[in-house]
Parts: sequence; structure tokens; C-alpha cells
Amino acid sequence: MIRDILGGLFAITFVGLFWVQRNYESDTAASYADPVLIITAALGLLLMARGVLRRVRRGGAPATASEPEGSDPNFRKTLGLLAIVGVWIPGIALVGFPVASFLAFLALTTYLHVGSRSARLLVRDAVVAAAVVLFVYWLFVEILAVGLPLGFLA
Amino acid sequence: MLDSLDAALLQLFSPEMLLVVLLATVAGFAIGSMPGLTATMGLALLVPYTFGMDGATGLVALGSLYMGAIYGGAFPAILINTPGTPSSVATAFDGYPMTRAGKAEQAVIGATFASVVGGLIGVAALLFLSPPLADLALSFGPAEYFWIAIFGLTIIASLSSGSLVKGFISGGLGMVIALVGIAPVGGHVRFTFGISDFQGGIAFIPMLIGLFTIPELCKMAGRSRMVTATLPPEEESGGPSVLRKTLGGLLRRPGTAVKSGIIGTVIGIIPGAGGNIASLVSYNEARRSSKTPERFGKGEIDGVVASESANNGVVGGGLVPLLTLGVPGAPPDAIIYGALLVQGLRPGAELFSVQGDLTLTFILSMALAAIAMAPIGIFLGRRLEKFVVNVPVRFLIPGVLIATIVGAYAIRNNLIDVWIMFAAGILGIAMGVLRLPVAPMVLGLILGPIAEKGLSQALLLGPEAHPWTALFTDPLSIGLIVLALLSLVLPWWASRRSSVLVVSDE
Repeated sequence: MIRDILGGLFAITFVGLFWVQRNYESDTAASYADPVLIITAALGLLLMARGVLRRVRRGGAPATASEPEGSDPNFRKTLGLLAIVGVWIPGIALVGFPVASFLAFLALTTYLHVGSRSARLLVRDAVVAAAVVLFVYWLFVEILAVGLPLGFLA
Repeated sequence: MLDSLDAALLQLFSPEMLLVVLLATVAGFAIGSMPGLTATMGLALLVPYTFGMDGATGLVALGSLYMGAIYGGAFPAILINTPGTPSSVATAFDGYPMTRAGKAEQAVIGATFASVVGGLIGVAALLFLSPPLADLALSFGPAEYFWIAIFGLTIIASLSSGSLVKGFISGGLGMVIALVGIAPVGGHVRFTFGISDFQGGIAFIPMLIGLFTIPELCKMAGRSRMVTATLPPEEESGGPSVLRKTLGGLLRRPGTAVKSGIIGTVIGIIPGAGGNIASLVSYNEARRSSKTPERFGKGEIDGVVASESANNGVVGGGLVPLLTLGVPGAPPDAIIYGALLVQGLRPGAELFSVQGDLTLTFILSMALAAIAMAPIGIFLGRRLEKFVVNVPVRFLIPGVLIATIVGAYAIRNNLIDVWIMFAAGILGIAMGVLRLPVAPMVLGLILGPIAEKGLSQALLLGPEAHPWTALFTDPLSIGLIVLALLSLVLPWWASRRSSVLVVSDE
């Protein structure tokens, strides 16, 4: 129920961001884009209405069995993981692919480790991180001829 | 296209190409045998690596990986009761009881035999059905292409398990994203949000990588290992004698494997029905026609054979509408569609005439991958599966992430594509939390531009007073409208039939 309401709201907001950007130069251009935007927003509205109606029928009681099946990612772990990746990407431009990737890989292995941490474990993770990063760098630069940024190592 | 057979065989049987088939099949097997990693995710990760390859090598690698991944899904289903891919759900019904009864080796041999048979039937259908269908596509005009895209979008009905509205919202959002960039008719720039990098549109491959990998990795985070169950100890199989005996038994009554392969292929050709529906329908058909239906669910090898033959039949069958009409039947086909575009190839008749050598090499390589699954599965499978399910998550997640980042970057040597991948990943997570399915969005991304171009051109070419009538005047258009309606109803009917059969027999 609440997911339906939020899902509908999400769709309408998403479409709204595009709607305010409309700047067609001909009727033909609008003949496809506008119906797509309108129909998607209408479906979002329908989903919201369905969610509200179901909620009203339940008298505001929390959803139980009828809530759609599925599993959510661990919120805290997801945020941490996205934060590390969010730093990793600009890090590639700043310090180069090898250094940024080594640090991000090591940060992720440390962050995702379950159980007690030790210096020995950190050294082992660092060796794995270095090996993976060097292998990927070699594969792309030497074999696939993709120029990965080297940063200050250049 | 068969005129190109000599050239295709020559290319395929070169040492380099054979190595690509072998490595990609093993890689696909490893991905498929890891619960949580899907064939779609594996293909999305491989696509950027194919940029540096020539068209044939890249497509051969993708086709082999796809085949190997679907087959690999059978191993955790049989050994630990955890399907590696959604297509292997029915494999676990009898595969795991066989393992518990000490017959894991026989189940693996049965799955391997069936995967080879099903895979080859699917590839045969692809080989012989695609060229005439592609010739038919030659007579398509803008209106027909519009309806083809609509037909493809009706696949959403079967991709959106649970709520049709949510599926169509997701598809609509994909079509909205596909609006970004230069309009196909008129050429004006729209919806770029002032970002000049978006003038060429939102890059498709980084979107796919982000949508399919980042949410799965986030779900994996928090677990210490991929699976908590332990593999059973290597049984005292008796080695070659069990192989000979089991294979001999299967070869003496190949009916289930052949029938299930055909069912899987036909269901694969129907856009959207997919491997999970095919394996369930085939499983139920095998049980219905069996002389000993009471043994199904308790360790009947025909149950494993039916499921595995069907889901591998879907691989070839699903590529028929993709290669001929540009309509991806399932998410993995959508990734292969992206790879085709990257290589400058467009689905349709030209793929089978001008690019006949390449297309035939691709199709035949999938047959070779199907055959290669036999030695890989029987001699390497158990050890490889044991290795992959034991890779610690803290290494697996950064390992896959580094592949996604470099893969996205490699497309245009531009960090903007990595940001697009990252943003698509966050979008995928949000959609997952809101229970909006991701697969229909990919269809919207692919089919949106085809629909827009078809509609705009049809309206321009139509009668001035009533341009919309141009969409409904041609018999081909009417036929496609009927097909679209059927495609809405058939997967729903097949799914309902398979679930009713499963429930009624429980």
C-alpha cells in the first residue's frame, strides 16, 4: 500500500522533471513524447490511487500479508557501499584509476567484513586488492587498449 | 544465409574462437552457478569487454556466456536447493531430492544432457526460423515498426510479475529516459537538463550495467558468503560407470529432453515468456505424460531433464524475435541487443544477408557452447561450483564493482558514463524498494526510440487530413496489432496454467 503510493509519487515526480523541460519545435515531435509523459504520469496516479484506496479499506492498519513479496537491501550497508563508490568515481579523475581503485577496494573489503578485524586480515585484503586492480588495469590497458587515467602516476 | 556456412565454420573453428567459446562458457557457468548473479548481470558486465573485439568474437563471447550461465544455474539448484538463475527453479524440485538421496552425480549428468539437447534445439530454431522472419521484416514500413515496438512493449505484461500497472510504469519511465537527446525526426535537442553530454542520449550500456548490477550488489552486502548452506561431500560416484549408466539411460529415452527443448524454444520465441515459465510448463508436461508421475518432486531425473532442456531451449528461441525484429524476448536478449548496436549491427534482414557470415558464426557458436557444456559440467562443474559459492562477499562485491566501473568507463573513455551507471544503480535500488520491476524499463529504453521514429515517420507520410489512419491501413499493421494483443494474453495464460498445475499437484 505505502509502496504503491510512494511508487506512484515517484513516477509522477520523475515525469514532472521531464515535463518542465518540454521545448518542442513541431507538432510531430510532441505527438509521441507528450502521450508517453502523460500516460506514464496517469499510471503513476492510478498506482497512488490504488494504494490510497487499499489503505482506506484497511482503515489505516499496517500492511501485512497483501504487501508485495520481495527483499530490501540492508539500508545501512547500502548507504555505506554507495558512499564509497560515490567517492571512488571522482577519485579516478583526481588520483588515477590504480590508486583510487586500490583504496576503494580495500575500503570495501574492510567495510563488508563480518567479524573481528586484524592487521593480518588488512594486509591480506590489501594484497588481494592490489592483485585485482593490477589485473584489471593490465587487462584493459594492455589487452583491450582502453586508456584508464593514471593520475599522478603518469 | 546458409551460403555463408563455409566462411562461418572456418571462422568458428579457428583456435582463437574456440578458446573464446570455452572461456565464455566457463565464465557463464561460474556466474550462473552463483546464486544472486544472473545471466543478465553477467552479460551486462561482459558487453564493455567486447568493444575491443571484432563483431563476431564479441557476439560469440556473449552467446556462449548466456548459454553457460543458464546451464550453471542448475548446479546450486541440484546441490544446495538454491536456483542459480530464475530459470532453474523447477530443476530444484527433483534435483535436490536426488542430491539428498546420494544421486547428485546422476542429477548433474541429467541436467547436462538436457541442457545440451535443449540448447541445440533452440539454436536449430534460431538457424532455420530467423531468415524467413527477417525477410518478412523487409516489407515493414514506419507504421509496422511502430506496431513492432508496441508489440515488444506488451512483453511488459509478462515481465511484471505481481502488478501490471507497475510494469507499465517502469516501461513508461524507460521510454521517458529514451526521450533524452536529439529527436529522431526533426533533429532538435530535448530533455538534456542543460548537460551537453546528454545530447547524444543517455548511454544505454551504462544504464543496463547500473540497473542490473548495483541493486544486486547492495542486496549481497551484509552477507558473509553467497550461500549459507554447505555443499554435500563428493559422493563416491563410481566415476565413469555412473556416467555411462546414467547417460545410457537418458539416451535410450530422449523423449522428455527433446519434447521439453521444443516447448522451451516455442515459449522462448513468444516474447517475454522466458526461461522460468518454460521450465515450469515443461516440468508439468513431463510429469503429466510420465508413467510414474508420483515420483516427481521426490528425485525423478526426468524432472531435472525437463526443466533444464526447456530453459536452455529458451536461449536460442528468445533470440529469434531479437535478431529478426529487434524485439528482445527477455532481459538477457536486451543486453545482446545493446551489444549488436555497439558493433554497428541492426537486427533484421540485413543481419542475415549483408552480415550473414557474422550472424551464422554467432548462431553456430551457441551450438558449440551447448556442446561444450557437457565436458565443462561433468568434469569441471562440481569443483567450479564449490569454488564460486565460497568466494567471500567482501571480495566478490568490490570485484564486480571494479568491473562495472571500468566497463562503463571503457564505452567512451569518459567518466560521465560511470556516473550514468552509478545513477542508474541508485534508480534501480529505489525501484526495487518501491517494487517497480526493472526489466520493463530496459524494454522501454530499447523500444521507445523505435516506436517514436516509426510513429513520427508514419504521421509524416500519412494523409494530411487524417495522418493517424496510416497506422491502421496496412494488413501487416493489423497483424501486428493482433500479435500484440496475443502477446499480452499468452504469457499470462501460460503462467496461470503452470501455476495452476503446480498447485493442483502439491
